[in-house]
Amino acid sequence: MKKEIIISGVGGQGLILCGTLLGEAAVIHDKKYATLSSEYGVETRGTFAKSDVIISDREIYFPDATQPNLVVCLAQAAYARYSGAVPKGTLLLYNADEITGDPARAGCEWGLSLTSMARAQGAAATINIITLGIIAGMTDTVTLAGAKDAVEEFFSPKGQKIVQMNLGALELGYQTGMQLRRAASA
Amino acid sequence: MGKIRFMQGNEAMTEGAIAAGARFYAGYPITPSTEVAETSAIRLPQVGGVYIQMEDEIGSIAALIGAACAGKKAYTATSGPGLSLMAENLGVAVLGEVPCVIIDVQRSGPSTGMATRPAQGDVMQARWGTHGDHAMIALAPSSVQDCYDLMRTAFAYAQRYRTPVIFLADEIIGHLRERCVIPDPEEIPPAEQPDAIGNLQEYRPYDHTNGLAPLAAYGSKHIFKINGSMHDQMGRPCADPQNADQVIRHLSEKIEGAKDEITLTRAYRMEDASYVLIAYGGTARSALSAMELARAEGIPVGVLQLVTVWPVAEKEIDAALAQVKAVVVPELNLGQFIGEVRVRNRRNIPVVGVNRVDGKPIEPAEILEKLREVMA
Repeated sequence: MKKEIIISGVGGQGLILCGTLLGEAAVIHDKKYATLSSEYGVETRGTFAKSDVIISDREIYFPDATQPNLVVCLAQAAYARYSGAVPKGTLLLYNADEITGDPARAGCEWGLSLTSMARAQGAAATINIITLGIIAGMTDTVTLAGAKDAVEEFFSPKGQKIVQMNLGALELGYQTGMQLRRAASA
Repeated sequence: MGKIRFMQGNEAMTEGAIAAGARFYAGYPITPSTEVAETSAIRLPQVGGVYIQMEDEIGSIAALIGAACAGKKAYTATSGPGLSLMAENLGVAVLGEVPCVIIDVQRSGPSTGMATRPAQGDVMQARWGTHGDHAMIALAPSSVQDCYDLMRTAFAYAQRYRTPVIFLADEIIGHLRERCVIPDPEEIPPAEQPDAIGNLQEYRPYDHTNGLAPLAAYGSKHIFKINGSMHDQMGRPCADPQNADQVIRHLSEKIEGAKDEITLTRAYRMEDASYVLIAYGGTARSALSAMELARAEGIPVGVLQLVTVWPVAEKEIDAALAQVKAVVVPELNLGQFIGEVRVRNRRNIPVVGVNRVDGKPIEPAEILEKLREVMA
């Protein structure tokens, strides 16, 4: 098993945290190999940024995604870079609340209202954790238990309320991911 | 077994330094090495060490030299622009024979360049950045585990050869997060200690007639001088030609002459290789992936990874050159190391580079393409 995932958007959206938690779940909980390499600008926020996560049963050499299985776009700048540019068979998911999708590609890309989902969880900032859940639900990369562990450990210094909110976001993302997976195989 | 962590390269360097016994850091944060400073600022005080944020890189290495002279294992982290500022005082550490470790997480240059983009443009700067004849030790990690493990090696070499050591990392590995096993504290062997000075009547910090003289600590009972001027065995300024000749030859010889112990390499699938990829640092990962792609096509290729970049792993490179039909040297610069392979190319086989300077890592497919070219 080797899966490559690109989580893209702009700096400040928590993309690298999403990738880090994914990697932690895989390595620490699920005992797999994982790499996370990022690309970002010199600005703290607002310009293109991405995380490449590779999860595998064996040691990973080149740590950048060259054949991504899934690309998640959380900002227009990221969508502009990947839409139509990913290899055939790669799933592209985007946040339809933030991104105007190309109608011509509606058949092969999926828009989700991630901002609305995140707000319903209590904070728009949970988009990255919803995304983590979606990735866990859609792909055989990490187990839900592993992702929960990683989320809980990361947020626990911020208090139980924040932990619960993010676990809720993770669960919601996971269920969404499972639905997408069924739809994709149907 | 230790603790499995999903860790960043820069963070692993800090942990590795502490495990090696380092207790002093002076530096000026710079992308892409900043996390070494951040984590050192948190971790060193927890283990009784000292972290100082300096006014600049000139001051950083000056403080490092001072701390090392006072008997501390000392390190700093920077990137190309900072290494440029450190160049002058790096020479003081070379001539003064002061052990210390300088981490250079290479980014795209020259000058400010592209702060967040990877490069391997400081290979020659690490070797010849400071002026005058000298040898240099530079180690290039290619994984987060290397960042941890090789810090120990770097400090051991610094101590053993009384020299500054450059930890020649790059943005790819410094910022990479991956699996890293951190041994439990009780599993970590004690750090290499300097030889005892004993009860010498007159301590001579530069009397190397019976092997390298140990370095006494400032504040101990031994009084000695260290400065940037040519010195005699006591460290006193001395312009005697014979003395200068001896000292300068010694600075090179103590490292070049111990090459076999210092040069670390890793050979992958070399047994039956007709082609070899010679690589170091983050680019070794591209080479290993390229090797897998090529092997899947039936191309008998191996990888020779240079963990020690300086001094040159002459024996291993010679052996590879004697074995194969062609060599590909991928580098994230315009070919700073390939010359070292070419001057040893006695059979005149093709030795070609794959070079990128656009701030992006070399992709395995590019190396494979070059390999196909040289095979044709």
